[in-house]
Amino acid sequence: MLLTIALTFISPAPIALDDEPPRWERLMQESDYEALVDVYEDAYTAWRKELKEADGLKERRVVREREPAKLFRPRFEELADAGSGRALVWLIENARKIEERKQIPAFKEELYGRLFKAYLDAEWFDEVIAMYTRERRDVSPEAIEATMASALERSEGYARAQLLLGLARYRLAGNRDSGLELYEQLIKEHPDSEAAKVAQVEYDRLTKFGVGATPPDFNGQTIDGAELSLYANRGKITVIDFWGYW
Amino acid sequence: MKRHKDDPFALVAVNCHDNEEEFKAGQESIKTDYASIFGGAPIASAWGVNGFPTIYVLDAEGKIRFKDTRGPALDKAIQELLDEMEKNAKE
Repeated sequence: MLLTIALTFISPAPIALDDEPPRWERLMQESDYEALVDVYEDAYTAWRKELKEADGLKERRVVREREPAKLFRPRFEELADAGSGRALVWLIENARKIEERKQIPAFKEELYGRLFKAYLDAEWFDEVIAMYTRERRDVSPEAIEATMASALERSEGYARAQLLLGLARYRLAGNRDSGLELYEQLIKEHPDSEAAKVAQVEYDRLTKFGVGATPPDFNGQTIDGAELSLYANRGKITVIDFWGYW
Repeated sequence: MKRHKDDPFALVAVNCHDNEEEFKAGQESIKTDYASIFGGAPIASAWGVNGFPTIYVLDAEGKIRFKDTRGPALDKAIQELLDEMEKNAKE
């Protein structure tokens, strides 16, 4: 009884967060990835504001030095070492802010290596594949091909379907036929996967509406109600112009 | 476009995403002198077009030969196909 009374007296006062600047130095101790990202984003917003309000070149330089990503880097590295794959992704996404320019390719190679080794089956791995296959500046095409090939050998089901989709998109840019073959392989190997459905749409667009294809007819009315159709112009050189004023 | 009025040439314009008001307002400032399909967004979506303007050039057989060409490159592409057509007709 006494204890209850005592407790009501020492119950914590409401935390007046609104009046205070975010205490992200302390909150940085968050041990959960999502929570740490929230804290980082608050810190980043606050820093952007500070930078915007900074007066003169000198002060701006001082504020710029305090870019929070550098400060948060060790915390994300700890989380990554403790098994958070998302923390590895964060480090890659922020590479330009936290690493010397010259070191970035090696930095990314190490992080991608860890991701492709341990997280192929993660539900967010499709994002990693999309990021990785767009790393034309920091990762060589040979390395991309090798990493993807090795991952394909080690994976099945969802992970394999996502890898095939990513590789098909990547190859398309350089070698259309090779990309189309990978789409076909994916649709055949994993017919019920989400990746195959996406692949089918992209494949149809390329084969029905790409250069070299003969597209199906379409028709419609002008604003005054006159009928126009594509096939009405067969036998003529035809320019199709998709446009808008807005 | 007028340049090709005696050639076997056609322009199929597909207006996307403008509503009637926007279209009419647009016509008042920049008048187009060719007919355009109105409300063509579903066609653009089927074609996988998501930037505007996007231009395709089809040959007389209806095959897509060029995509996203504009300006002088577009004139050149059209001329190339017209020449090709003329050559085929002679053979």
